[in-house]
Amino acid sequence: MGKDRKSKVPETAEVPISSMIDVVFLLIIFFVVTAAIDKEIEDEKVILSQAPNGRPVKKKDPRSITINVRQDGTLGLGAHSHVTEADIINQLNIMKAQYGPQAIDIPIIVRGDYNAQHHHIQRTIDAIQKTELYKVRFNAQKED
Amino acid sequence: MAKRKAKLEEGAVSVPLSSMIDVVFLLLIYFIVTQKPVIEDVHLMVDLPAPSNPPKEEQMKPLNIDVYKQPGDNVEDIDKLLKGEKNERRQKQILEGLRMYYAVNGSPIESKRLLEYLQNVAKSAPDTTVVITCGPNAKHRKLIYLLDMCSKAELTKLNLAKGNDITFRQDPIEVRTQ
Repeated sequence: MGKDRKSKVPETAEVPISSMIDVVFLLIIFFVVTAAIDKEIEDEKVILSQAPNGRPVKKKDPRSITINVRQDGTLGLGAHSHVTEADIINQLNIMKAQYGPQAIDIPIIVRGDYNAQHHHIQRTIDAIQKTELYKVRFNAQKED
Repeated sequence: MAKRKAKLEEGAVSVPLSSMIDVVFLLLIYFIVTQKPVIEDVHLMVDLPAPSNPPKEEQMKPLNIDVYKQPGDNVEDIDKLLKGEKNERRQKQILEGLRMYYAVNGSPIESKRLLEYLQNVAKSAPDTTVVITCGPNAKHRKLIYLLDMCSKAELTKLNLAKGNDITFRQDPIEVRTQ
């Protein structure tokens, strides 16, 4: 009778909790970091036009300068959400001083909203021209 | 010995595992649902006019393409354009031109015919320089569409010039398939 009672007591299994907590935090950190990449450069308010036949960007030049032109005509430069043409000229001149003659090859990317009027884009281009840089790239999306 | 075991068992804390698993899966589902699809970026390159370099003598004439805002959103604009025009055929042509956003060498062209026209140009003269002028109120997406068509037609020499208000001067262009 004593032996039967002992054999009926269920055995508890031990599961290591600490490994589970490590996995959880690793996953959270992974998703948070991947979601935050390039957010400072890409303005979410700018809706890009579609260009299915354009040349896709395979490797982004780390030296590139991105200028956001929103629908209302306000400009953004990199991490700065509101800049003027003078700020853009200053930044480009700093870049030219830093890179010297190689500054001509640095891509200047204009991310214009699909509904922005061209005179807003023209203001940006005029500012870029004042720094004697003449290669401009317009950013678009391949397809939705 | 049995007393020590009993003491150890009393000190152990049991953690509810089922709640932890629930939290893990909830977090995973949240991040998977909020993850945005990656849309490929595209760069359309243009050259800006450089005032320091004088233009070289080109063997072929550049192709001038104007991008403009479609007039005619106001009835007064249409009245102005049609003022004094009694010829019905000419009136019809003006109204047709109002639906077009692009003009090649001053002649308006339909958007859907633009690619065909550019491909014809690229076949006969692949090194043609395309000079693009945008009206100040033209939407940016119209410029991007034009650059996209030039990319498809493999016309790579693109210059973006500064433009004022553009009005078309000639009759709409007819595209002939070669």
